[in-house]
Amino acid sequence: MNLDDILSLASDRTLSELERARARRATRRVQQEYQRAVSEGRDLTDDIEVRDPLATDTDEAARITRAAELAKLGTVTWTRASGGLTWSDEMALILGYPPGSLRHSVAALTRLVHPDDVDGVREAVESVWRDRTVRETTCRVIRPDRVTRYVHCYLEYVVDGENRPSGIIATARDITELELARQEQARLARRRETVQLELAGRDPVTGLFHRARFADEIDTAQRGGPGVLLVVAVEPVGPAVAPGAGPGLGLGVDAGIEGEPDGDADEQERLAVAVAQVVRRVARRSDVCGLTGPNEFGVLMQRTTLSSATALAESIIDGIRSQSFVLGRTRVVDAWGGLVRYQGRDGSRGVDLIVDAETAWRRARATGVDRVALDQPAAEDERRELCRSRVRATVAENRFTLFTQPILDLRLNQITRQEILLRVVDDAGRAYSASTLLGDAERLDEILPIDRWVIDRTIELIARGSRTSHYQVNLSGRSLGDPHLLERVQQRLQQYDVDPGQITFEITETARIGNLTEAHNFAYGIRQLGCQLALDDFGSGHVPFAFLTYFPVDLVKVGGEFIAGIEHSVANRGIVRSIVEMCRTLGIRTAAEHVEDEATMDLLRDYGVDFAQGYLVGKPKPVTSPARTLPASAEPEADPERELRAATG
Amino acid sequence: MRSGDNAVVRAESAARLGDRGQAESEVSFEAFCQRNFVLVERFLLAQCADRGLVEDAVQEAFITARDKWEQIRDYEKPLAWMYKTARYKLLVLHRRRRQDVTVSLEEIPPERLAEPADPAEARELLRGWLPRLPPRQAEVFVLALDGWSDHEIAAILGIAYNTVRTYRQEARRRLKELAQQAGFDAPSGRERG
Repeated sequence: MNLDDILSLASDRTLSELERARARRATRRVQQEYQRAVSEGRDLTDDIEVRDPLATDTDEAARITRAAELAKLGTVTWTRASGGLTWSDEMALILGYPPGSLRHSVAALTRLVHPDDVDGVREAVESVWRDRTVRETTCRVIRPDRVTRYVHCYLEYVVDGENRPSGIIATARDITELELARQEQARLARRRETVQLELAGRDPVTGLFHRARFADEIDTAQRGGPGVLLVVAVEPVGPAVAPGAGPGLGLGVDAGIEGEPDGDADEQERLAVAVAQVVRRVARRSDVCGLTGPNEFGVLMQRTTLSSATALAESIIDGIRSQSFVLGRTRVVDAWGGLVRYQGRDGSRGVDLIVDAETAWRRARATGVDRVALDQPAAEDERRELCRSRVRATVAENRFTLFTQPILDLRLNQITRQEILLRVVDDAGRAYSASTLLGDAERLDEILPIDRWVIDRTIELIARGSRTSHYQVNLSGRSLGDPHLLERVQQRLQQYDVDPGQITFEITETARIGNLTEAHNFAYGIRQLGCQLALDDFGSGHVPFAFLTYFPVDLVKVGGEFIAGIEHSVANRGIVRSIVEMCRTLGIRTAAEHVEDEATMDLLRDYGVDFAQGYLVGKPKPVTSPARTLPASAEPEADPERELRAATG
Repeated sequence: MRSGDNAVVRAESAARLGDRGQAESEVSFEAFCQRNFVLVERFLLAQCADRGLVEDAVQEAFITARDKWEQIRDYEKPLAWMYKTARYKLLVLHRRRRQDVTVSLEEIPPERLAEPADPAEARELLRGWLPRLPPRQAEVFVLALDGWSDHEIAAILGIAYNTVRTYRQEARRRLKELAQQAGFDAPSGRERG
């Protein structure tokens, strides 16, 4: 079957039995309504043209004008013979003029059309005449009171009685409301496409809320009344795959990272996914789950007692312990739980409760029990001191190590830079993301010693590395206020004879910049030394655009959340493109993190992003290797030079 | 042959018999109305999916026709006047309800549907495609399908003769595309494979 078959079927005019019955009823109704109209004395034809539409009409333009008048449409007629224009009264009203007040010339009409639309209208009119066809066009007109209206026009060419082209007639209608509705519909469709139904804040690997978002969820839940927060920590049992640092020995920067570095990160992910499954399975449907840190899982239980929450915690711990996880080889994983009961409205924030629950599981592990339950949140100053001593202990015990991640220069398609990343080393010598620790340190104003440590170690490492490589070092916005930090950088650069041009300082957590004047001084000072300045996570954090105009930033790193999945996100493409364009205008280079596939890389190249970083370019690698680990060594650095060279290429 | 014309023929034959009284006029109008009410509705349904609104417009048009029947019944084709007037009544109703502020369908390919088995199903299928055409093209096409000449269509719709020719061709081309997208692309008169 094709269109012709359908059309011949559709053109059958026979009425069905039902339709005939309906027509009879309709006829009766017409008669009744007619009688009622007559008895009410209504004029039935005041707005109707009674004459026969098929009666011969010599002038086509006149016929169309009459039909337009009836339908309250405006017309403008151009007649070839006279070369002049004729406006209908309705047309004058559409254009905002009293009928009869407009001059009948093409120039006068052109002045009424929005300047941006004149060419389009002219092109349409010319094509109507040239191609002997009909066109539709929508243009804006500007009324004498400067109000802009959208007007839709049919442009038809008309013939005289002998079928010779005689002119053009435009039938116009003010469609402003329709056009605005159309634009609004298009906008809403675009918005539906670009806005996410859910707030960001989930860990991409496990799908659980990450720490900050989980803390927000706790705050929300607390307002609804009492409940219990559980944090479960997991840790693989027994010696690691590669024999190396035993628990408690592998401290210091040269602390061994077990096995292959890449494999290590993969194992952490696999473990997280597996444990998340156990947690989800045991938790009640209404419980909110989160990933509060590396290998740390939170379960928020509203409206429950401490004893039933403890029972659930034991089920989760048993569930984890009774399972074997494939981590390099099959491993058993140990788990501890920390619980804290909250009353709601007792002044503890979500992040405080997470800290308390963490303190509780650490106490459980230290005392050799499965879990520790706190009847209430800790006192504020007690919590702060606990946190502070933990941060200080990490610094004092030198439980840090550095990783590097390669950065690709998209102009050269070559790795020219490395980002230096801080990792925390646990008792078993495993390196973990330092984000929780850094968060605590920033909140407690303990970040400066960590930043100093990073600066010292980094400059020392650069001195041993390649002279042509460039390094990006993270520095908390909090530390910028320290008046001695600049001196320290300068002193270390001299001490190790490092070219300042090899370093870019990435400012993170700009929201925590305490003293803007001090930060400003540091920023200008560091550039005077010859180092460069970058802003981390631009677009995700709290950096106002104005920051770019008063801070001498050389590089902006676009937040990874805009890069991951950019291929499928109109919103992220628009945002990244705009950031790149803005930065180019300001003389700032751009870098993209979380680049994980070629399609993303191609897009970023198209947009003119300068640097790319992510798994596609290279995963973070330790600057030291297990082979170099000298646990007993008093000197923390053995020989990081070779590893750094290997890592920076 | 147009059924509306049948009523006229009957009315005219009655007129030749010398009876143009009230009763005869009534009979001829009712015959005209019964034959054409549904056809005028079908015409308007091709451009407006709101059946209630269409029915109101057609009813108002026929009430007006009843009022001027003595004059209209003498036209060569009273149905042309009916179409024109009903179309105008629908326009007025649309404006009154501010329903002219509707936005065209999104450009998604038409659904694949089963083959129409009877004229009603064929018209229903067509009604699904017509809103994807510019409104005037759809009107021109439906009138042409109804058997009206290009000059008649120009007069009913109040547009230029050449416009009708252009629109009729463009509408057909576009409908053919839509039909093909919906799977109706077999050579004429043969079953789909």
